[in-house]
Amino acid sequence: MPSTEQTSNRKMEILVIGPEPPCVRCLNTHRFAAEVARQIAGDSIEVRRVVLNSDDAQKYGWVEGGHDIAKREKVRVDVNKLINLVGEAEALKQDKESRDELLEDKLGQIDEVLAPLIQKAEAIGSLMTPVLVINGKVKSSGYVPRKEQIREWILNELGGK
Amino acid sequence: MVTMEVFSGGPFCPGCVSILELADEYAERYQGKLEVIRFIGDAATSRFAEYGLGCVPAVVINKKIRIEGICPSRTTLDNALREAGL
Repeated sequence: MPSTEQTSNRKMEILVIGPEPPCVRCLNTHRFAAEVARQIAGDSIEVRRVVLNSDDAQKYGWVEGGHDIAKREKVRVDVNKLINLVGEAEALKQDKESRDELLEDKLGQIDEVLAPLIQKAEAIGSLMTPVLVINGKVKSSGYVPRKEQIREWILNELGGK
Repeated sequence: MVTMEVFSGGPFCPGCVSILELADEYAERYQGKLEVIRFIGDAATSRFAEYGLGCVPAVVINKKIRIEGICPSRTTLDNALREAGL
């Protein structure tokens, strides 16, 4: 039995669309996707970051950062709470002992603060960063998906589950 | 002269907007004592990689990474600059 959950040799590509260099949310979306992809298929799945205003990104829809949506649509979020949570997430990231589950929870709390922006993006039909694309299909936008969810999406795309 | 390098993503996330505003404020406040260098978006990537930074916003003072992934409070930034001799 292989150490990875090898289910298919079919070439798959995963994109994480966001600003470049990435913020903490896009960085962790990429990290989680890369980690899960490696566990499932070794190096045979390519996971890469794509800058949000590139042609590569915009072919999946109109991709915007939360700041642009907030400014144009006059959506308010609790910025102080956001800054505190990002600081806490960053501290967890730097603590080698802390588990990814704690980081996932913290990133989830950030997504809750940003929920008004995510809802606005959905209402106007734009994709808010981070955007996760697996096999050419947009799987999530505006939030950091949990690793278990990413695993399920990849396995479904590979047809192994 | 203290050197403060400020890194932001492109297009901006909210943290990057805040840190660039802070950079402008500090450049004006410490004119002649603080050199502020802004690295934005794609233009940031080579210097960003040189420091081994992971995410923005980030602040490097006198070639030492002081802030990464978050826009600092004024107190945090003041302390970092004080430690650098400002």
